[in-house]
Amino acid sequence: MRTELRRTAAQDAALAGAGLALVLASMAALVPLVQGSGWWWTGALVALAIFAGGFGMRAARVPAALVPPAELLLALGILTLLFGEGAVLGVVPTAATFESFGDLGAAAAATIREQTAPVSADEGLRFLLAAGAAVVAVVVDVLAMSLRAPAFAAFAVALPLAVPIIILGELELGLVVLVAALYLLLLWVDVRVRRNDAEPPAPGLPRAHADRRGRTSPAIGSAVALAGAGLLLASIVASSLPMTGGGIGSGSISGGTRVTPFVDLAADLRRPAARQVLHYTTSDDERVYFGLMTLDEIDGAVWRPSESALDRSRDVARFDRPAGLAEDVAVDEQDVRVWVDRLDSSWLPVPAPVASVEGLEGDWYWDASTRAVRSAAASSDAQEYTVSRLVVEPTAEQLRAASLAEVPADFERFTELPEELPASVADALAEVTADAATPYDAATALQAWLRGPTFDYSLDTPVEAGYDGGSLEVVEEFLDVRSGFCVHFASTMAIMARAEGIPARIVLGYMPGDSSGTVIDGRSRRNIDSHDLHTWPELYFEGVGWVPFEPTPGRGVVPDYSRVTSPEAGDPETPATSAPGQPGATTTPTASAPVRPAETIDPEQQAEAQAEAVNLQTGVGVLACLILLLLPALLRALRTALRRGRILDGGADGARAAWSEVRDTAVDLGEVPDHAATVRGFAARIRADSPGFRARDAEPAVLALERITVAVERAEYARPGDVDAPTPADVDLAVAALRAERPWWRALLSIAAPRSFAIYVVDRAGALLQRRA
Amino acid sequence: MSLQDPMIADAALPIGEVGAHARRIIENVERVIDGKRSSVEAALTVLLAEGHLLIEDVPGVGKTMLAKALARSVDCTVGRIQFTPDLLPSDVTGVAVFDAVARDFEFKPGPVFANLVIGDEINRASPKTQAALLECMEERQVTVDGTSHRLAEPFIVIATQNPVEMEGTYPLPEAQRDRFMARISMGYPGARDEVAMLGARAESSPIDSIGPVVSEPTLVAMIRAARGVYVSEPVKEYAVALVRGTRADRRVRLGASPRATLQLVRAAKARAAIDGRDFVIPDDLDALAIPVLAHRLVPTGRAIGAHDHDGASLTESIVRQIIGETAVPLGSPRSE
Repeated sequence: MRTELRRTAAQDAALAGAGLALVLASMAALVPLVQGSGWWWTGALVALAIFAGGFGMRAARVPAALVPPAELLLALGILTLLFGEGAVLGVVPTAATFESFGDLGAAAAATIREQTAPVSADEGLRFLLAAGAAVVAVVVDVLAMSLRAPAFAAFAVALPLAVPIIILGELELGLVVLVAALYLLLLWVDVRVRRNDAEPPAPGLPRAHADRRGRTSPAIGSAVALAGAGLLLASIVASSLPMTGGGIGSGSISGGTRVTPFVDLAADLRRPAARQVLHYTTSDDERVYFGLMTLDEIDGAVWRPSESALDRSRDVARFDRPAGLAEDVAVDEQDVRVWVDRLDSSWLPVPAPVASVEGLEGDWYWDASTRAVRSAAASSDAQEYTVSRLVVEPTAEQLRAASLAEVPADFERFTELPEELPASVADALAEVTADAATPYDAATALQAWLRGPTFDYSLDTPVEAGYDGGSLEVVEEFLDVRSGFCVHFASTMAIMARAEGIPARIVLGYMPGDSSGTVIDGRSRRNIDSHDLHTWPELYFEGVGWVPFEPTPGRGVVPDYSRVTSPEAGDPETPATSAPGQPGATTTPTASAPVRPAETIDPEQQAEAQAEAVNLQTGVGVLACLILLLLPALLRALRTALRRGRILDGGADGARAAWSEVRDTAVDLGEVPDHAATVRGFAARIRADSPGFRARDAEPAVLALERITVAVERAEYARPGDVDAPTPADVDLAVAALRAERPWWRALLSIAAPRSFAIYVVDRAGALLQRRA
Repeated sequence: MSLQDPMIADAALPIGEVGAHARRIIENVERVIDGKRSSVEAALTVLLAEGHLLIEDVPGVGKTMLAKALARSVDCTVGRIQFTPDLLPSDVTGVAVFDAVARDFEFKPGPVFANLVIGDEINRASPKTQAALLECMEERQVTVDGTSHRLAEPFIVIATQNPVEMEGTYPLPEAQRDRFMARISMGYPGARDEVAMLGARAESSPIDSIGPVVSEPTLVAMIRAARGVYVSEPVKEYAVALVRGTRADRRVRLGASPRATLQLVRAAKARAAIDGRDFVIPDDLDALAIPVLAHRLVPTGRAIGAHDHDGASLTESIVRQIIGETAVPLGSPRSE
């Protein structure tokens, strides 16, 4: 009675609804990564259209093989309608449309590259997400509806779930539960539909007669209702996550929107294996910091670059003299030759302040305010260029002479804070700068304090304590815990400087890197890798301009001018070196001399420890994922083991356990579960459908199956009495024959996604619900 | 001989021997009926369940041959009635004739006074005559002129009939169809079986070549053993579920009666005994549900109208569907 019947529209609708709910819920996993929820609705619309289209085509009896390609075309049409340019009638793509798709994809790639979670949902990203939703929807629809293998849908919906795990290292538990529940719902609907399929046909009769309507349709009806509820739930979750989802992601406390590269930076630093980013030589063999971008706005309590349009008049061939740099400050020129090895960005790493850049491919322009070098279309990857850099060497006196009153009026934005300084931060600031007579003294005092023994450098603490990021709240938290990395030190110093009225901003870039020991054109080659990624504050002093500081203990180079501590503090020790043996600093910086190169701490040991920690974390994460994936298989194996014990105990229960194991194995391997099949009826079906039982040498297995069948019949239907329980060997023989000569994917699936277990869980849940009711 | 005889009651065969005897009978019958295993088994099942069997099919497929072969395989008295439109009830039951010597009416038993009665083409007889036979089947006695005469035990009627649409037939009323434990049809033989038949039957009828393989006491003992087959509660419930299914179906005007349930379980016991099993399994009920239930169902006119074929195949498909929908105790992944 295994006649394949056409599914009814109601069954199709239930399957499609469950599939759609699953896709929508899995898409919600990306909510912590992208701002707003508009993109989710776009994706939901696309997925809905695809499922509806598939449903319509099947209802219209379109040949099954044509449905998947038609769905892909449908997806293309919708994307064209929503995003494409130059389309005919709005939906028929042309070459121009594909070109615009390419641009959108590139824009999305740039967004992902340059921003960190949550990135802004610009059009490119919305296009990318909608296209992703389309692909996942088509895959799930084809798996669940065309191929009738909804178990595989797990792989498709695992993709969106994996993204936040990879990027943020975490995933909202509620969402996982929701997706898992919807996945089970899909399996359950599938099982229901299959059971109906397995019913014998009623030749020449309308399918919807009373009995059928009476017994099966309510199940489908409730499945439709459940799928609908799932849809609703998924949309509620999706739209509520941005508001409630402050706890998601590493910059959790900030909440709301944040465009900050900090998280990305931390992720890069935590990556166990460093990637070479660039190498360079300098004309005077000095090491230089490379700035990539400047974060000069605190928006919604997070640092981000102020948005400014590319000014095409500012070609990189000639830079203006840095703002605020007076003539009496000693300025040298230094040539820096740069080879970018691997850095795909529209921002160019340059050592500040730049006088000119030569040798670049593509059009690059410099920003009037930040002097960062940007391009609209070109990438920094594989560029070779020469930077003519100004070496500004102010003296402490010159800096100390800078007065806040002389700061240009339009620099006010560099002293803005989004809200009142938290009391604890204000108190700390007051204490640290109590003796500072000038802004410069306050700045050096801050740097010294941050580099001092009370602070630890740690990549992991902020994550563990949940205050990763750079907002005011994070600073408050950081000052409490006093453990963090460059992001925290830099933003703390910048925020405190702003509170003092000193214009301050944060630069994201690279530390000077290590000497490679090789020489290019007579100059030492330095390598910068991804572990050199760094942020540091820049403070503005009238007469000198933007002056970088290095408040992160154990990292980077403390500039000469900032090394002179305030006379009032009376502490000749440099801040960094004052901290030998402090708990967090795993490396002990050498004393003050030679300023530039030597202060850079070789982070090998530290990196190793970090790498270990990261490895451990990754390992635990991977293990958790594996366990989650293998959970059904493990539980199924547990059942097998429990049954084995019952078989060994013998008797009627042993016979039942033996039969259950054989039957479930068959169901796992694709046999249709049929509640109307008798024991020997099902056994006959198993034998007919298993190549292993048809083989020439299958005689022992056939006999074993027969013994099991007879035993369970006796156990179940005969007068109570002794039953010759089958031996575990019988079960092994039968199961081996069942599994023999199956296609590898079928065998794998039967173990990884045991359907009998899904049925068991669904049935149990159903029974529980019934009992509740 | 009576089943109530204590000697016979004691003589209930071990279940394994019932199976062996049953196999011998089946093999014997199969010497003349090729490729009709299931029909032969169903017929023997009804025999061991003390039911009456209705074989319905087009002429020439071996209905009478099956009935005769079954009767010959068992060493017992056989009566045969060829039903015709002019057959009278007394031709079936027997008549009281005046004995001039004894100056009294003497009862001349009709052909129903036998263990196995073959009623050929029962639907060609007038309803009155049909009723006479059917009364015998139910009451197991004949009443003539106020005197009741008990029929032999076991008493089993194997009736054959042509499908009701054929010319010159009087279809059996529902109530009378209900008297038959089972209705089976023969169906055409497979091509290979038909070729084999040509070889074997070209010259003489093989029916003459077979003789009894089971004695009457053995048959009674087998019947006795079949009665003792165990039916567990779940199986009983399953039988009831099947029968109730026929009553709930919208396409059926009249579902199967409680008598049908009783006969279904009795037939299932016999089938288990033939299989050498001392307990009934759901498969027995599945296998017998169509022969035992289908001929009792009265489909609605609409259902017949919607159905391409005759009423018989409609009711069979209804029962088949009920079997396919009714949950079996255990055996299914749901039950654990």
